[in-house]
Amino acid sequence: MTNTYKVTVLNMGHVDIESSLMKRGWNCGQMMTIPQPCVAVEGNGLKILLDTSYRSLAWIDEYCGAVNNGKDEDDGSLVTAMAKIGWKPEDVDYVVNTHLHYDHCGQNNVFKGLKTKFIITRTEWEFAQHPTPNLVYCYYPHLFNIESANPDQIVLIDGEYELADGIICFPTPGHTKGHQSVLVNTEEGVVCYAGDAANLTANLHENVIGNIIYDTASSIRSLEEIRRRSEFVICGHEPSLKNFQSGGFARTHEG
Amino acid sequence: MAKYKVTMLKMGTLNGEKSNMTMGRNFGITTEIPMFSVAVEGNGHKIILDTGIKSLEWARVNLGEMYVIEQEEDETMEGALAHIGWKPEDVDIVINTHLHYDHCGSNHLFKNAKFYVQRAEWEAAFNPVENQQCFYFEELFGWSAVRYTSWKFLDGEAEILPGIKLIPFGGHSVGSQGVFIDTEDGVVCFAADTIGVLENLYENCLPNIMTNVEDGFKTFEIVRNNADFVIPGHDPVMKKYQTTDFPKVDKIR
Repeated sequence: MTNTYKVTVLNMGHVDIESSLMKRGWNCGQMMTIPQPCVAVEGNGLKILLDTSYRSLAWIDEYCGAVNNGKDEDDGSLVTAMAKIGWKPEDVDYVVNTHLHYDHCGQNNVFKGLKTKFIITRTEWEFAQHPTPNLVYCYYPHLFNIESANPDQIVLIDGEYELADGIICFPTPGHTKGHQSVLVNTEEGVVCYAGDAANLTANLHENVIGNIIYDTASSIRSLEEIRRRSEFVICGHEPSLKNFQSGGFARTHEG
Repeated sequence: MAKYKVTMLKMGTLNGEKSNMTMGRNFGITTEIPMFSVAVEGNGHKIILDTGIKSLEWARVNLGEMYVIEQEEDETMEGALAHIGWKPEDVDIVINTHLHYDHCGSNHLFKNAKFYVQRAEWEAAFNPVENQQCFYFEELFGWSAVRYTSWKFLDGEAEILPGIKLIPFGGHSVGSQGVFIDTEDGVVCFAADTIGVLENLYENCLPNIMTNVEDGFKTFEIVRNNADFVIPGHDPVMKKYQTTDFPKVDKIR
């Protein structure tokens, strides 16, 4: 029998962003408010965190220019959010980074020097050192290099990877060159944390990709790979997600 | 070395064109084509090889006029399991030789099992070549039937338990595999559709639902070199609940 896990959304805060960046061609020029979540996975004696959101709103101001209408949940700290579900940083066995954009690995540093292993695709790791010009503004090496994680904590993976019985990382390139998504078996069914392979549930239901992009063809293909593998989905910036939500996730397949 | 007990489970009968089973022979004859799954028990495991069709109703809706299908009460997967005293939830391993509709139709019943298939077959099942599109139905193997986290994808030969070996079988589909089982009498190979009927092996005559013929002949050699007995997937010589006296592999050729 396959192990099941409990899945809990931890949201660090909200920012405003131009709508068509989330869904190509949609509401061009109109801003929308999006969450910046991580996902806590617990079961089978393991504690696993999927992504670590942004470092802080002040960090975004300093490195990316003025943050658009940023609002922290609570104090915007992963340590605070984890404490609310009874986790301490030293409990966390794995952090899976879907990709290394600043809003997905921002608080990796919380786990520096601990037992935590960071699961990152080799392709993303290499791409993050030399991103294409259109994505340079998303990558800040100090968020994921030795300033935030010791080298022996970094585990680079290639292709589909069974992290534990009932938890599978699989490549979903498109948004970035080495993006991956994560499947977690729960009592209700298989939940896919899409990361930014699908920013919004609508990306999947309408088969329309986002517009912060490395490759469009693989991005469309990744939506199909998510549909093949999962019954429920947590998208990287879906506004309907609730902080500490641990069930009732959106269906991958509409209707 | 663990030894296993092997029991034939009959999953109903198709009435169809006989030359589908034998390339270049038996044209224009309608024949009974029984469908078989196999129950394997031993070493603390209950294992099912292939899972038949989903139901008669499913077949009527989805296959249309292609075949007339009959199924007795104990030829559904639930009925056959009940006959041998198993419940679907007891089964801890399902092996799909391939993902044609008559070999994975009842996968959805096995909620506690791990499912073994060749990755090449899984990939091909979503985008089959045109002449095989009529055999693959995503609802039978996709997310709504089997949780993705329950699949065990194989890239080639694998001994999944002591005495249970899976070997890729080319010819019939892109990623078919044969199952080799250690029994008290010797090694039994469940060949499914790469040797649908004994005539395929004994007369070196390929089945007629094919991908590559060279791979099909190689499969015959793999069976001859690795098994003492063979269980064809659709041969009327096989008996419901048969547990012994399986057909001998023809070693001569």
